[in-house]
Amino acid sequence: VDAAKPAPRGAQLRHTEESVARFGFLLFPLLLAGCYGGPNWYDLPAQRPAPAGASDQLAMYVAMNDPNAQKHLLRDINRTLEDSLYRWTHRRPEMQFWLDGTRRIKFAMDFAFAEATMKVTGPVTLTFFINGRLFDRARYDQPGSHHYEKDVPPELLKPRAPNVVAIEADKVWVSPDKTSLGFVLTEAGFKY
Amino acid sequence: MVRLAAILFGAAFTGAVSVALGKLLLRAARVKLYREEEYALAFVSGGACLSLLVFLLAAARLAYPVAFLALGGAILAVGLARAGDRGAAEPLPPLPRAWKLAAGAVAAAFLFFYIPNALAPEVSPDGSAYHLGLVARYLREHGFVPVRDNMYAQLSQGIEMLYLFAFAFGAHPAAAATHLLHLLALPWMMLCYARRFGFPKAGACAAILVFASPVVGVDGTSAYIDIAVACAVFAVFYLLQIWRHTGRPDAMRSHALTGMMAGFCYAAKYTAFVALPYAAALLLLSRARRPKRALAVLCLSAAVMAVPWMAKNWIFVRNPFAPMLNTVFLNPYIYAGFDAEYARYLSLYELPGRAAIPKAVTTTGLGGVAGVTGPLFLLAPLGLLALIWPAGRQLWLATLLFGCVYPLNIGTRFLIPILPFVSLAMALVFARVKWLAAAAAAAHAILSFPPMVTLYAHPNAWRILEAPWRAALRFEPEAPYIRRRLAQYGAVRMIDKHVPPGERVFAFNQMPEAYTGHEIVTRYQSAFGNLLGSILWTPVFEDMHPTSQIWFRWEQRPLRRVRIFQTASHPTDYWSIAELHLYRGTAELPRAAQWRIRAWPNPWDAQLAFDHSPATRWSTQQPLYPGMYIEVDFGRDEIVSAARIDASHDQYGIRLALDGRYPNGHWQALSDAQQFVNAPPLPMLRKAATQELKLRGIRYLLIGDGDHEAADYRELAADWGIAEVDSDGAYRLYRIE
Repeated sequence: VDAAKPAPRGAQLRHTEESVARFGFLLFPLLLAGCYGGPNWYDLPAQRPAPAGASDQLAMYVAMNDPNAQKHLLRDINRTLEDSLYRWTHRRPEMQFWLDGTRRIKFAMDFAFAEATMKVTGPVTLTFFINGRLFDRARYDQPGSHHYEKDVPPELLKPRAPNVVAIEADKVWVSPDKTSLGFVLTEAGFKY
Repeated sequence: MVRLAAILFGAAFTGAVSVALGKLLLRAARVKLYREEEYALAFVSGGACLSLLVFLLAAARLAYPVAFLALGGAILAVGLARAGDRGAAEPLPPLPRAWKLAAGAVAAAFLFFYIPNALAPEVSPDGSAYHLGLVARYLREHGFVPVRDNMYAQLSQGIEMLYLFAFAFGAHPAAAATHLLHLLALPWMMLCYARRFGFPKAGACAAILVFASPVVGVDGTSAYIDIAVACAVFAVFYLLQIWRHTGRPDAMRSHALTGMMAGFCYAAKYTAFVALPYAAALLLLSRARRPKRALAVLCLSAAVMAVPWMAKNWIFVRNPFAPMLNTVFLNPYIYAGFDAEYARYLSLYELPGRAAIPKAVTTTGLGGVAGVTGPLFLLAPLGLLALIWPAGRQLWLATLLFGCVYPLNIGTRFLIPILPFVSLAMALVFARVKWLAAAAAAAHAILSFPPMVTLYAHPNAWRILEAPWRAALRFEPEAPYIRRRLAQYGAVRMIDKHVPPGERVFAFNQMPEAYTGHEIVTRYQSAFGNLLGSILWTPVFEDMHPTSQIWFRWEQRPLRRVRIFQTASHPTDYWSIAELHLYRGTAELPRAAQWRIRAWPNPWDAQLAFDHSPATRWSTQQPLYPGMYIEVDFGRDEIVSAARIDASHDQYGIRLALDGRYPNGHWQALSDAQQFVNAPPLPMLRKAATQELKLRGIRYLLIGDGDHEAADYRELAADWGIAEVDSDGAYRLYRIE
């Protein structure tokens, strides 16, 4: 083949084919690497049905800023949500929660005493009632956030039914407009 | 007696076929052997070859007793026809009479315990769980089937192939009896080696040190594989030593045999892969003639034995080295994070530190290391004095190379492959002082005698507990004996009684699968098992509740895709998402059929973040590194303004950011500021969990009273949606309603 003359089109093609045949195996991993487009895509899986009580029914535990919280509040809890987080309680707040089973259940509550109210009331004792029966008493002498949690004897609870919890404060702060304020409630309910 | 005869036939037939095949191999390899060493090396090398043949039969789904009988019969016939071809070999130099008597006495005393333990029904934990559990399954299925829910099925199973051959005739104890043959072959090979190279007293002492060692005794009389592995390793060493001292012009055949045995070491147990680099190094150090060719022959012969196991794994689970190297060969069957977690555990078990290892493995057996070698091995450093002799240097080179993998798994039985080398090095030193070798051998035999081990080892240390002659001779029925010795036997009997054929059962811990026809999915043995375990733990561990809401918000805009990145590193934390919700304003964007999702790593579980189940979650299943992501493609343009991740609390190290892709294909960072909200506990989480198991084909749970939160299943059975079917005192079988 005359080097000065370009090879005919077919010869160039043959040359390329030979090179690919001879060295193609070297290119193969590179080609594979170039083709990598990340992990496979998957279709949306079958959607599981929403668990009972998840949206429009009573829950076993509720945060005060939950859109579903209102239906759990029976009395003596302010309907106004403060700072998108908490609600004021009055002398004997009452709430209801749904329970499926009654064994190995704890009652838990996140709450706080305002410094201003406690300055006036001094230490406060909370008395807990579950379904109308005395459950526990706890004394608090410091303002600020508190967490309460305690196992509940099964005999106090009702399975597959709403369970009513009442928390009575022995002292409340009474405002000039005669509104009594107990503590600030963030979340409460039953847990395993 | 028929049962006993079947057991003896299974083991004897396996042994005889191995010897016949080995003799043919040795003849082909033209290795010049003495009479005494020929049988032992024929048994070990023939066993390697038989293992490969059984592998091929199993791969062809021809694992039938009649096929094994035909194969074994043909090999025996050929072996017998060519028996005279080699001519009578010369005997080795004799062993001093006193040592012959001493070794015989020790052998007789220990065999009084070893023989009945091997012939009695199999009650060892791993033997009854997976060594024979898988063998029994292969025989039921007449060959290999993809067993993707049990990582042990992916380990190389070269020795189990011999057990499969024996099991076909004599069931479980035939396998243990085959292992006992290896227990006899190992000290015999050591003795032959020492006699050949001129230190018979040291050889006899070392053989006693190994044969009497408590962990060797209990392992070698069970359907474990460690003694057989030690035989293969020692055979590689032995063949190389013979070659070094009798270099022959046709050494390539000898290299082929050595390579085959080195490959079989890998086929027998992953950690014995060192045999090939060891053999290659020794060939080069010993200046083999035509070294490139010698190396090629060695490696190709090794590949013949090792590659089939890699191929099997590649085909079944996409990882030739499964269940290891899952970060390199990513696959959906074992999570990538398993490697590091498992390695971390095996490197220390429950010991407080590495300094505790010597005492634990020699004397107490505490901390999960299982057996003990015997306290005499605390003197192993004395064996370093043998370095002044050439044989000592060879022994320590082998110890160094085969022992370099020991830190990966510090269980006592992982010392067994180097025990012969260490024992020979120690005995070489002891034999230099009058009576010291005899005293050491006697002291070790006394301290290692099964009734004596109780005096210093922990009561739970794995060891021989009795000489069950009544069970071995079948005067005591099998079932009561197994029930007495194997705590989980009642549980598998319960399964066979109540669970319909073909149904799988989930258990948190390993069960003796060799005694049930049902498949048991064990939590830690596969990605599937891990997933099921995680689903069941989600309701009972508060940290795993998907009640941590992570919100991303941005100005609403049309997007085609949303991708959430993880940007932090952490050595142990994983990132997981129970559900990913997208919002337009305050309303959740309805999920549409054209949505597609992907994630990295662990792409196979990506759907779990979009199934609307609080009990399941996509997890990276690897410790955090920057670049992990989960992505959703809406399949069309959607107006989106927020994303909410429902996550568990057990991921403290994560840092997240969110990118969106516009309809024009341009990606933009939309939010790296997140708001964390604690959601209330979810109702019906337990029931959601069991329903997820049911959807995955698991309708039965086996919960041990010692399992995490076992009382929760018992006391809240209604909440779980399960009913107790039966109980054997330690385990309860539940059916998911």
